Amino acid sequence: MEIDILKDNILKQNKVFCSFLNDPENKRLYNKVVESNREDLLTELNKRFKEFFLEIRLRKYISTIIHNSVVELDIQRRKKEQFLAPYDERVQLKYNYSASFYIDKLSSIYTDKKINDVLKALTEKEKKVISLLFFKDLKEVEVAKLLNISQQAVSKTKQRALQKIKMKMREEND
Amino acid sequence: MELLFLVRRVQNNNDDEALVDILNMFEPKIRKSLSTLQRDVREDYRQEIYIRIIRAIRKYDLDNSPDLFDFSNTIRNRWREKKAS
Repeated sequence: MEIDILKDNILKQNKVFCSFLNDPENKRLYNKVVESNREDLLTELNKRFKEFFLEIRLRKYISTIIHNSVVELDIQRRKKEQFLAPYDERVQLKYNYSASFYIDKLSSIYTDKKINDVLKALTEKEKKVISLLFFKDLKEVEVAKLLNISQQAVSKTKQRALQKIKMKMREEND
Repeated sequence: MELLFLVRRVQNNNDDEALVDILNMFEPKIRKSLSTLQRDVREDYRQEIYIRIIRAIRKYDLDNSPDLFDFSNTIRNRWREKKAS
């Protein structure tokens, strides 16, 4: 009677059960059980299914934990950011004055001559954008606000600068 | 069954190497989830995620799993409810 349950169509359509049978070993065992009605094989199949189910449930569980904690932490951070908003504005102003400082520093960060040459090839504007985006980790919108240009302009400058860097690096390597 | 094996090792032997293996296993998923965030907070969040995963693994109940008949009954009931509604 128990084995009849296994032949059920609803069970066969189930995704979890399907993927369980995707393993050839499990499939063989399942066919044997259906054909021969042997209790010991059924127990073995059952044991395998239990393990299989535990495994996928655990995987899903941990994935959910990862996803949820990122969402939760981000909400917390945003709340904090809102709370500190007035201070942040003042900090942003500071960036404005020190922007040129970072650009000069850019070349001193890397001792590698290759990278220095490549960075020197950029225009002033590109240098500014690149240093603010990648060394100060600002968003495009924030850089735009700082330099008094539109976000699209920042994006375009960034693309162009990265393209230039890529080309230069390729040339140097050839 | 790889994950299950590792989790058993963590729970029974307090095996730290297994724990590291598990975290590495989920590295792609973690990176994907973090990819939407700003770069400067990613490392902090990663630490927090590690802590949560480790805590979850240590407490996870490995004995409580449905066998084939529990499972098949559950999905059949669910199917019937769907049909009824």
